[in-house]
Amino acid sequence: MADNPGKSATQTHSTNLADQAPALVWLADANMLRYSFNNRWLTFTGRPLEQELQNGWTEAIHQEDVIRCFSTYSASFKAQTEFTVHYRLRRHDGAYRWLVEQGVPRYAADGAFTGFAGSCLDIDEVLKQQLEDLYKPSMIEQALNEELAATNEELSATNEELVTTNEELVESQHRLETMVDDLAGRDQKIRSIVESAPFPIGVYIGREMRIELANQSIIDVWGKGSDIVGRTYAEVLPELRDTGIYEQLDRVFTTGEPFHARNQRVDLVVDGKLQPFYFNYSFTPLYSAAGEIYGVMNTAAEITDLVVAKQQVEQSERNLHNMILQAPVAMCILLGPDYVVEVANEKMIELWGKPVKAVWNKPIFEGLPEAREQGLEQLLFDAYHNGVAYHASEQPVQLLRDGTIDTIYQNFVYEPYRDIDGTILGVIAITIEVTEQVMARRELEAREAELLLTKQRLEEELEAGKKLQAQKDSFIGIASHELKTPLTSLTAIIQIVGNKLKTSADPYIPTALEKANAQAKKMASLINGFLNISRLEAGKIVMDKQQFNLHKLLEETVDDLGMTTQGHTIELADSATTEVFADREKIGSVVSNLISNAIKYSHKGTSITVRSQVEDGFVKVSVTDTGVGISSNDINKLFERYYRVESSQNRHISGFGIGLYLSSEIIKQHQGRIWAESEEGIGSTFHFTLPLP
Amino acid sequence: MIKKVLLVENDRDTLDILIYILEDKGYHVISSATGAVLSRIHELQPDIIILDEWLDNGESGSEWCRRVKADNSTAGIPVLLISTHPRLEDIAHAAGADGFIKKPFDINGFCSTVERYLNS
Repeated sequence: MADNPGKSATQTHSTNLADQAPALVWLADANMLRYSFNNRWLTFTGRPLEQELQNGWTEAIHQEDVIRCFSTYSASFKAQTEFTVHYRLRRHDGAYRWLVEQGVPRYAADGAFTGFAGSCLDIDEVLKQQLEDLYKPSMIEQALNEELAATNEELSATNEELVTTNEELVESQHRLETMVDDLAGRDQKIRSIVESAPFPIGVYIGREMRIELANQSIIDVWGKGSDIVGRTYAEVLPELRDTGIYEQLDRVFTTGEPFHARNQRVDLVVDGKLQPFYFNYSFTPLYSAAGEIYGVMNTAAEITDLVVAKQQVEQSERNLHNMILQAPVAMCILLGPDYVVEVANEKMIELWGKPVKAVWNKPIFEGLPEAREQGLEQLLFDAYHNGVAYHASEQPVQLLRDGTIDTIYQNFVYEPYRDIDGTILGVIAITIEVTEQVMARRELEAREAELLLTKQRLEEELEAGKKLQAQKDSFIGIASHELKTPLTSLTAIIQIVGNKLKTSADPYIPTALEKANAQAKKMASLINGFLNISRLEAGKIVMDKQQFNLHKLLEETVDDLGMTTQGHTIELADSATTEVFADREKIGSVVSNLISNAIKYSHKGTSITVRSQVEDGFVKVSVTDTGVGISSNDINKLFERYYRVESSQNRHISGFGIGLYLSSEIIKQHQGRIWAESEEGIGSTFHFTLPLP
Repeated sequence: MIKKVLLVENDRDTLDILIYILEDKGYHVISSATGAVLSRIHELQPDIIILDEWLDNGESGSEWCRRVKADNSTAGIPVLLISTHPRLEDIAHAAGADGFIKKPFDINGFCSTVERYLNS
């Protein structure tokens, strides 16, 4: 409150000058509030600076002078003109001394009005002399009266002089009336001065404190409307009962001792609501000409805004402290160049590992000596002196906790702590201990490294596995080659010999060679079957899909098999002419396998029927025989690898049981389905489906 | 005119049979168990080349086929790859061969394939 925001170095300089001046010197801002008094002033009044600041100085003005003095003061401010005023000011010894005060307006470089500077001189001695001179006419008047008395005496003696004397009396009466008028005019003047005073003034008459005068300012403060003159203070302000204010007024009235209150909270009913206000106020006794107290003058300065602002600052400081205390992370405020621990929350204390007493209100490096020389001093210095915020992550810090030095890891922030003007008061430190996270991450990193090793090992193993698979593949390739190569020559020889001996005299020979050829072919097909299985399992068979006409494929397959089959009829019935997107060769081998199975498992002379039909976005191919049929036990296992149905009826039938497995794998890779329906002794139907393109 | 068949077959027995079959059909068969004979291709001027895929010394029929097809003066000669290889079709296609014959084969099929390419 004492600080004027506009106060600059120049003003400080002029204050120093003023201290050396032989006069009482003051400075006021553009709002008439005085913010500076020289030492001579303070020595004169014997009051501390804070009591004089703003309008406090008026308290020491003689009650008879205060209104006049202040009205001149305020009028000059309004007009920004120089002024001279005389008033009595209470000296430190209680004596009122006449001063002459002169004020001059002051302007900033840009021409803006900045307030007034003033000086006062004690002219008490001089003025008293002048006053005496001033009162001389009244002595003349007294002499005149004496003369009048003498004249009266003469009146009784001399009748003639009566008229003259009467005339003189009338004249005297007239003068008296003029004086009364004059007095009334002065009263009016005073009233208007009080009215226009920018601070609350009230005058209460009698012990009942009847309001004689209340200026607009006090009316505004009270908030009770303007119709209050003539009512008593207690009537107007009933809410002040039990606050002691009535008693203060009464004491002033009865004892004549003025009462001054500072920063006083006064709750007033304004707009129908009891609201808190803050005042510096004075009650001063008013004396009649006869020296009797006839009333009390009340002057006040409302400082609610100041107090509220101060409270707000305090509250926001408290909020900050509370916020820090309740923060979920470690926080503290370190004040001043010694970084004194102003506030630190539990988390911070915990982090420091010290009893609260050991660190609270102590410079940080005194409370935590082991935190020295880790580079923190420089960081704090930068924050405090240079306003540089510092953010660190995962900083290792060594702290003595429970008797042992621990290395902990912290993410922390040092932020300059500024007041409202931006002046750095200290440093706010926020710390999050991340030791666990750092440790966890390190462990994670170690695990990751381990994992990487494992991965490398696995990759090596996989590589080895692939190599093995390649070897296996090449083994299958070689095995197949080695098996097929002799078979090639064998088959060729059998065929050549068969051709040559077709017309042999021995009828057995052509038949035998024919059988040998058939067996060789079967062998080739078995070798191919194994090769396919191996390749299928190694993922080496790729479906070479293309668009083709399924009907045509069925026709070709049926024709091919028909030519080489004796004893069975194969017919294609109800074949849908439809295009599919599939591996033609492999689908052909599936159909061929199903027809071959049907031939194998049905009696000679029966017929095998192939059908195809479109159903729900799929084409279904079915191969039906009237053979031995399949038991319900076996029907679901037919498509397993190496599964063979064991029965007395089919023991003579050769095969490794891989045909249906291979077929089912091929159909699966086409997103189709393969299954069988059968009744023992009646026959079987094998179906597969393929999605339509 | 008698057609010249250049036959390269690694397996001795198969080679003998093939020579027998082809000569029985009236072709002039120039045969070899290794690919070396192909270096004399300009001199030999065959009408067709039948190449085994798996040859000795790490050579492959498809590699020889590529060389034949890369040379403008020999690229027009039809080449048939013959092998037990399960992916023979792909290999033949990739090497630019005109056709392929899977082992074991039916001699009628073999003869008709050879005849077809000789006349094409």
